[in-house]
Amino acid sequence: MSHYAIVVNADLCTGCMSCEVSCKQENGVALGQYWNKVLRYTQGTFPDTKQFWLPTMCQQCEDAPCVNVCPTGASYRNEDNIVLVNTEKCIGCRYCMMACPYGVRSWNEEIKAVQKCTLCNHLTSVGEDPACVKNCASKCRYYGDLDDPNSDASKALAAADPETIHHMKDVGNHPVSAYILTSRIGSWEWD
Amino acid sequence: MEIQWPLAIFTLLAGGAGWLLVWSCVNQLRGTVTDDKLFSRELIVIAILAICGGISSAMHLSHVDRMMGALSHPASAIFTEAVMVGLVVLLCIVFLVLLRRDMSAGTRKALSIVGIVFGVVISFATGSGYMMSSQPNWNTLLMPLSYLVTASAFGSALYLLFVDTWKGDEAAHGKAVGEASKYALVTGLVAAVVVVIYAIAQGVLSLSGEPALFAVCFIGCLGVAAVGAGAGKATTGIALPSVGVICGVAASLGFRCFMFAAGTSLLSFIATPDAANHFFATI
Repeated sequence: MSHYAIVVNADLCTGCMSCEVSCKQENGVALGQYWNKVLRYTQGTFPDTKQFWLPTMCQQCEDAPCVNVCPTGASYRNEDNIVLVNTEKCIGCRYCMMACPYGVRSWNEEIKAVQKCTLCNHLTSVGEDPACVKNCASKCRYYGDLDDPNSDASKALAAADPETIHHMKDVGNHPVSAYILTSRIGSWEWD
Repeated sequence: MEIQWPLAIFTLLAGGAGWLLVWSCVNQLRGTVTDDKLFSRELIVIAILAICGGISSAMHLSHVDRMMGALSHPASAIFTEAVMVGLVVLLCIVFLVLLRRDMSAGTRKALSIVGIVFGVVISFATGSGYMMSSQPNWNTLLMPLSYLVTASAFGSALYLLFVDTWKGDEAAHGKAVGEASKYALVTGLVAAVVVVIYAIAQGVLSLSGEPALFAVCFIGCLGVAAVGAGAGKATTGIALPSVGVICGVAASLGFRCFMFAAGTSLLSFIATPDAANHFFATI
């Protein structure tokens, strides 16, 4: 089974927001809403401080709580095992937003449905990279099937020191997306 | 988390209907009050409460027209709740039809047992759907248990109101009021203890704004118990049982509001962003 996801090398992220902007532009994400958001974190106290950026998005959980709680099957996995939302089936109960451990789903007021990162499925299904990956100025985002050792995402993880590879806190949902962050740049606080 | 009023009202009404059904059916098994007119009135109110709860729940949805899609995922909590509401209403209708056709004692007993099970299950099911790993403050068995016990306090107060205002045989009336007041006393005290255990176990009283909601719930539970204790001593008419119902609403609705206010996601990067961490807010 494939596990498509985005890997982010937070060591290289400069916080330019290109991914955030290109995601909104590519997917027509409404004003004030995000499918991908870059957060800034500062650690330590002056003068011994560290600062880094953390791009956040759907973590493509292996046992996705959003899919499990959706009463209509609007949140589902496609044939490539990617977690998606069929807004035509969404009844707007927002139960998936409560169930998402990372709060990475957003409510589209206009269509009255929940939306989230689709890994730019319309692009990736025809062999392209997601918009955020294509437009990343510091080339710190990698997309691909983590079960395929030849994918960009797998190569990025293979090249990294295993101790620098992190995932979001796992409460039984098994997040697939991964982050690379060395202690020199910042301390991982989310596991 | 913001209080989801349609959901809070749905679970209040569905839980109240469930426990009014429980005590009404217990009375059918015990045979304390044998007046079918009283039972019919109770069944009609139970059905109305359940239907109003269902409507309130639907108000939460943006696309009710797509609700049939729930058939594609019958294991979901929302589907379970909808089925339980439907079953409670259906049982009330079956009971009402059979009451008009002089049902046998065996049928009455069997349906009453089904009613007790439905009443307990619906009050538990409306809370169990909130047990999710993403919400640490909700992800405990104490959550649906608190839903159940606060609903039982509300349902007991409703039942006491029905019995206390019933005009029938004096001896049966006194005995029925005595039983109903015991139900209110016990369920009120049990609810008060369980919600305190939940709040302490989850450590959710320290957050701002929540102590007031918890106080409403706790005082409501004790209020139902106090009314139960008072009503058992004398026939009081409508005043005291009405206070009991108000306390029951406070206990049940108070807990549901408290629970939403105590809901905090494991992490929340986008849905309810921490502004302090956002680039533009801090740069």
